[in-house]
Amino acid sequence: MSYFVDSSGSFVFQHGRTDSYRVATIPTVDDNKTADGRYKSRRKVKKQRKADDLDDLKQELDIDYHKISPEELYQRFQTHPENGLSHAKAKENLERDGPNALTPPKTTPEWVKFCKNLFGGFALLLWIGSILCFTAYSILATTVEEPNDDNLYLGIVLAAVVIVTGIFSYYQESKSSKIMESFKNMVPQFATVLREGEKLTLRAEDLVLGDVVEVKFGDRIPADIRIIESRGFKVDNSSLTGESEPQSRSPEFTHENPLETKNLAFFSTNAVEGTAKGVVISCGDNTVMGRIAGLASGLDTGETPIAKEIHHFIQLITGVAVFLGVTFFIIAFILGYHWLDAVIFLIGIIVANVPEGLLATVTVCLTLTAKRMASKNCLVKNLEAVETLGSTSTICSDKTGTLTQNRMTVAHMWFDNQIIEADTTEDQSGVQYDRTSPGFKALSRIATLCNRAEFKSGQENVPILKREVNGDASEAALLKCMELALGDVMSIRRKNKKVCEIPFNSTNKYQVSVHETEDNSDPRHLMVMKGAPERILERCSTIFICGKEKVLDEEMKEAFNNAYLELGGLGERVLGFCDYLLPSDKFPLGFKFNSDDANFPIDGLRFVGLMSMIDPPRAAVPDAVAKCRSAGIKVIMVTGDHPITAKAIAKSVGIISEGNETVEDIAQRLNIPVSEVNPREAKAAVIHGSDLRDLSSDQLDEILRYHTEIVFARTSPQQKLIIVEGCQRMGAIVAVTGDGVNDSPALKKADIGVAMGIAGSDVSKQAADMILLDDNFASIVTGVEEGRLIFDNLKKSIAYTLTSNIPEISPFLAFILCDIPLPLGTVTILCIDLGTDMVPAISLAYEEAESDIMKRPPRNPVNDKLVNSRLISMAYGQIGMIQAAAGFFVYFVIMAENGFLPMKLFGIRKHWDSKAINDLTDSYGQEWTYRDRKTLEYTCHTAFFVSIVVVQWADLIICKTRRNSLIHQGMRNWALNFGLIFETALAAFLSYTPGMDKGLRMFPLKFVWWLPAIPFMLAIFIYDETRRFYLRRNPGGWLEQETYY
Amino acid sequence: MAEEKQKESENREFEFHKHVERSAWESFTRALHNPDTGQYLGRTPKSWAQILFFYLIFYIVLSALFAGCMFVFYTTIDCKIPKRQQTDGLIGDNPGMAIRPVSNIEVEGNFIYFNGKNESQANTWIKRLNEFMEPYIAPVPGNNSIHCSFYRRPIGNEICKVDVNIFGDCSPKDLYGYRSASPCIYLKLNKIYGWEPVTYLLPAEGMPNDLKERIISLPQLNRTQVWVSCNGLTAQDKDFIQGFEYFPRGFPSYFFPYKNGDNYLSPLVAVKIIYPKANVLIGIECRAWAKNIRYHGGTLDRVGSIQFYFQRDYFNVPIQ
Repeated sequence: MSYFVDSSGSFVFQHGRTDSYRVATIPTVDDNKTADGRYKSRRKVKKQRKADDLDDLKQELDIDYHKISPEELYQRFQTHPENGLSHAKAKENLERDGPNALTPPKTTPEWVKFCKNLFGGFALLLWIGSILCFTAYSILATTVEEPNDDNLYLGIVLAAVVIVTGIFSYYQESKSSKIMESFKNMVPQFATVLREGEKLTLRAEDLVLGDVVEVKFGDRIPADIRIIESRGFKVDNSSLTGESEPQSRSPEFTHENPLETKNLAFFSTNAVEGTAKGVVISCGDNTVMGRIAGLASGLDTGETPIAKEIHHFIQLITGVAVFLGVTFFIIAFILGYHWLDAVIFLIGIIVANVPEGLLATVTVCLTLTAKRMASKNCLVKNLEAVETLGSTSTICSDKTGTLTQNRMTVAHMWFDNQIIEADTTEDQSGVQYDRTSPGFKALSRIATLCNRAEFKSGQENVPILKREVNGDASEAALLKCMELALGDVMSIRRKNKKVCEIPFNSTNKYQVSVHETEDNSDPRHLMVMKGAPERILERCSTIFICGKEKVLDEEMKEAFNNAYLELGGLGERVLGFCDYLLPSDKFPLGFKFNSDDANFPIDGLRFVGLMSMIDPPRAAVPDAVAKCRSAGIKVIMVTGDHPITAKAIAKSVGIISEGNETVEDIAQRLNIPVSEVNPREAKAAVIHGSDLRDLSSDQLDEILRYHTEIVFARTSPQQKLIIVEGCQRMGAIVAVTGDGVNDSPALKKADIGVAMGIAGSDVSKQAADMILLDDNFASIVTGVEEGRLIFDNLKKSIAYTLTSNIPEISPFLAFILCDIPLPLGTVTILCIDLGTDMVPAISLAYEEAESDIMKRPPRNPVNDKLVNSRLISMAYGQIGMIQAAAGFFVYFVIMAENGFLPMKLFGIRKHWDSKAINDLTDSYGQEWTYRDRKTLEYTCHTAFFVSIVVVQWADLIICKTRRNSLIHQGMRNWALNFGLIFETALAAFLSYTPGMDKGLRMFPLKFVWWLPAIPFMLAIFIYDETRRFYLRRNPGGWLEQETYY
Repeated sequence: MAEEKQKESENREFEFHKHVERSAWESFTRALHNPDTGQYLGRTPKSWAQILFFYLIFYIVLSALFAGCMFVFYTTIDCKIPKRQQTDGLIGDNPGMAIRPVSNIEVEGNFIYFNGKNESQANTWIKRLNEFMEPYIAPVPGNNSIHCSFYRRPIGNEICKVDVNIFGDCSPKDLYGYRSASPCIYLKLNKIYGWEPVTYLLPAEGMPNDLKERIISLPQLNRTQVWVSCNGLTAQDKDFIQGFEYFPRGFPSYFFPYKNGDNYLSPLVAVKIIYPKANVLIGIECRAWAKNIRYHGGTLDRVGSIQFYFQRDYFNVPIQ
């Protein structure tokens, strides 16, 4: 049993009828009741919910509330236009649907995020190493009297490294996105609601479906409503469509698309004029705004390209580490080592393989670049995003406010039968036009007088174009143009007093005002009119050309049409101007003009000219777009604006270049229908949002693939997202620039979202990864350059760090296989990885670009990896081996000089490490105590360490460049020079400082023992310079393919 | 011109490609052998040959460089005389001491354990000592070894012989005392090229009384020896042992300096542990006495002495 409210406002109980009505219609309101009125089970299947929800949100709004008749509307919601809902019904709805508010998405708890960071990447390997150390130590502690503290300290150090790195990366990621909060700021607080015939002021959250609300200018719309009454009502839909031109709303159904139709107004848009009454058709998360918010906060941003690269690299190194570790663990068993020793080997190999300091190095490099970019007014919120712009292959840019200044400006005028160009630059640096002709004087007079816009007070010192204006955008444009041309518009208006005006209305499409002229000798009134050009022309019988009034004949009309078409084709908004001197006999001074019912002629006027305006592109944009394109980045425009304007702007910034045509252009040129044009011939494409709705993803992919210059116009926020996804599906790395709320899902989904800092809304700034603090689109070029540079420099840094792995691992392998005393200990390995190698590795981030990096195409994320097999081949197979040779040479030198010639060392390991043997014989018959020979061994460790430092000098210098010679690149990187000195000083400090022998077991070296590594250092340098020389000589040859990383 | 520029930018523009989905097994087998391109593990056979050849040449050159460096280095060292001696190198000038017998099994360390009843156990120690004493018992080849004494020091190439008859009850004939309740161990001073002892001619602080008496009882010339004394490690250990007997009391100075002569044999001191308490672990420390042998006790930084552990299980012993 249910009831409904009929048109007289009385409740009618009905049996059956509404139930059958329910069955007969497709209920678009899910009131959770089954077909025969019983409540459905409240449990929903939760599993696939999230994915379905997101997919659902991506769909276009599919509602019909704007199409149905008002009566049906009232019936569906069981509401009444005069009385509103009953309190009971409202309560029921509130319980059913929940409050009219945006629900924040579920976030993972902080500790889960922290744990993920603590166990990701190399951390797992290092944890294993650390646990093994502790296990080995505890076993030793229970079996031996005085256990070696080494393992304990090593375990602690490894654990500390993991924890510190984990905290580091957690801190990076924890800057959580506060997207939902920024959406909440857009929500109004209160609303005026009709309930049971009473007007109440409720909190906006308490609104339910079917509520009748009243809104007036200055309010934020509290929910999605269908207008049932309106009086001069206009809203600003900029948060949804990007257009800030107020749209008038009325009860009539004008368009299929809910976003276009006049009888709907949306949650969180602003009412700028008039009043209206409407029925709430959706609230909370189901509103259009709510869906955008849901998309923007629910979207998974995915991994940045650099994160993917680092993961790939970590997998590679982990694979090598595990492989070597397990292999030699098994070999150790086969060779008969005690299992505890085998565990020690495993620890050593793991520690040697994993570049412990690399994660910190990468973070510091990215931070340095982020700081550099911040100094160029590019605020990077997420460190990894610094590199993403460098890998970007496609930029999807919003138009209004991003590419354009978001300020209507008069661009062209037509008078005296010629089109004159006005200066649209921000600082008036363009060509000036002639202001002395009579045609211009007449035109400018009309434009000045027939205009209600005024400058806000207190702006005398502000440049004219930057002043704030009271009035709509077109009138503001005219006002500023006139102020620039004539100066002091206000005094002109004062001199020509206005006596009557008929404001603009959308039916008539014109605006009229009558003025007393400033010419005191002339008693006639001046009537000025402006409006839609064709309407103005209808009302004119004469035309003012070259100072003379002529009859408006066909020739003139033809000229007018041509001019109008041309200007319209440029995507500009055109206005026509006409005037008429009212004869003084019929209309003397003091005549009472009637504005409601015109008692003066509004026909037979004198046509003066046209003015057209456009939102011009920002000054730096065409240059930036050109640079991006020459860097191989595809630039796509995605806007909510009209296709013609979009195309015009695209042409003027260079997104559509000279000579490229769309299918429509070709059709027009060849005079054939569009369907007959071969789509492959058209390089450019302009796609309308409504067409986009019907495209499948394959068709979208085709468009993206085969057109080099694309403009998407009239797109909804969901469609922007779909376009971004389409590009990503093709394997591109996508950057999105935008400033509005409607851009936020696309900004979130993009690999890097760039928001405007000044003009951007809070929501877009929250969703974005990078903010242009001065709204300068050209900063994107900077971002691309810096991103590419840091990618190259990270390669060099990683190559440098990885090279020292081989001289770290090989001593262990020799120890196991050749049975020699250990040449390099784990503590010294850590001294390299966490000590001497870090500063030089970071200093490579300051390296200058080798060649013009903006002329290269963007890197292919599938093939051009950060760490590829060539890098490993160079680092591990070539340079690393030379370094290992240096280390071993020093080892043999010291051993031999002290009495252990090389041949004696092979096979001696067991005796060497035995505490029981206090008289180990060397090659000269001398006998060594355990303590003395261990001191010898540790001196060898120190010397091996120092020799690694020495050869790393050469490695650092050759890693500076991948292709150029050192002579060309120079040693201007002062951070690197400092790094060289610092690393050497640190090595000397570690070796010679007294007390180091107790803690780190590093012993002072005789100065001559620094020298044996030098021939190898020179060998590295000479080898690599020669290699690069041949590389430059034979580009594309075998050497480049195999060794150029 | 615009077209050229366009073509250029086209070529440089990113090529979109589709991701081809493959199962894990398929991509694994493809990695091994890709039938489309004829690649094995990512390279064609020709490519493998090229890269292996490159690396072969590279490593040959690197080995040559290494060998060259080693060769140059070898010209700076002598095969008979160590380049860095005593404090110039790391061996220092404080010789350590070693004992025999010592176990082969590393974990056992400096631990002598045997059960008097179990002959085979004692036999292992005897066997080890026999192996060790072999070069001492066997006739010395060459003719540069002489019998030295305090009056007759070695000249030039001459090497001093070690007389095996001076070891008293601990001699090989007596099976080193391992059939009795008082087994023996041998002490050895580590050889350091060119090291000469500065001996105590008079008793010094800390010497045990029996050593002091011994020193006084000898004529002046015979006092140039590196004295030796042993003691229990802890006070408890000291109680477990009745005493020590030394055959001889020290290392005579005519054996030093060690100059890496052929057939040089280190002088030995046999120490008899007199009636150690049975079934109990005893720690013993033996140290050498010379003015230029620095002594440091303790377990971590031990210099100038040696410690070992000894345990004899209970058995009835025929009184010797």
